[in-house]
Amino acid sequence: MKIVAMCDEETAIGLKLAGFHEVYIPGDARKIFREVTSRKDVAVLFITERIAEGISKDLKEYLLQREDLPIVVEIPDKKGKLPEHVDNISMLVRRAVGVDIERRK
Amino acid sequence: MKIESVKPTRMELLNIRNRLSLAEKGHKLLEDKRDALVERFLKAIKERDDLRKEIDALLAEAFDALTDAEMIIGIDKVKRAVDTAQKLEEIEVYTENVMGVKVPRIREIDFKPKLNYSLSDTCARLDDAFVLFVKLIPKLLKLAEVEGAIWRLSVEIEKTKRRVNVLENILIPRLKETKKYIEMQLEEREREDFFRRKRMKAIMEKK
Repeated sequence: MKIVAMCDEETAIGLKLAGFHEVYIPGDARKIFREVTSRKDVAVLFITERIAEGISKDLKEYLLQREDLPIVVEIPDKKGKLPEHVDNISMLVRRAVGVDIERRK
Repeated sequence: MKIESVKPTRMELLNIRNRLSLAEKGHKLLEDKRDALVERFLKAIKERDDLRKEIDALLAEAFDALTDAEMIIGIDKVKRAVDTAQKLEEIEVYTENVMGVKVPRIREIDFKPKLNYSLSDTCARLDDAFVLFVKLIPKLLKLAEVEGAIWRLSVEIEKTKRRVNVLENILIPRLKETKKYIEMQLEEREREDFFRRKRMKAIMEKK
């Protein structure tokens, strides 16, 4: 199965170098996201936080339905992590446990 | 089930008692399941946090190297070199069963790509970036696996939690109430009966 990424142009250079099977630089992020997530041959979809932010509604919807693959993983892009970005896994954690989990050293 | 709709008979009482014990058993089982799932869930979260930190650092480092390379030899050359990069082999995904939850797992791949671009055209920083990205791949896949597990588990936990709550707060109290109602009705009838018999006896004796 394939590893696919959705990211901006600069990040794409890096991910292509890493050998990702397909790298999309989305004009219409929503459309591509829908397309990729409905495909059967994609195992993991990496998506940069910036793009994820833009389609957070679709992303949330996708996570709450009962689909197995692809797994959507958010990664920081070339400009680094977004400050105050709440990724969707943290959202799931909050839904399941009812509280935010913070670990202290 | 409304209490009024139950006929206060002994049969019904037995019935309710059975249902109550079944519900209590089910409640305990579900509670155990929930606790086990949460335990597994917390473990996955911890694993994810550690991986995330590692990946964020590595990724930043790799992008730094890439930016350096772009500045040294120019973005066009980097792009050309990148286009020759070897693609990963296809990965294999299978599912593992964790307490009835299907969790995706990714079979580890042994990926040792070669540099395909010409050395004279590129610079050492691009090689650095390449090495870092290749190092990142297995970690990213691991992260995907862990996040996939968190994703599946959270859905299941939510479902289990809802079931536990329904049993605990609605079904079991309702059954208990019904049981109490029937018991009281039966007792009342018995008392009535007893009193009637006593009264009858008194009347008979008077005659």
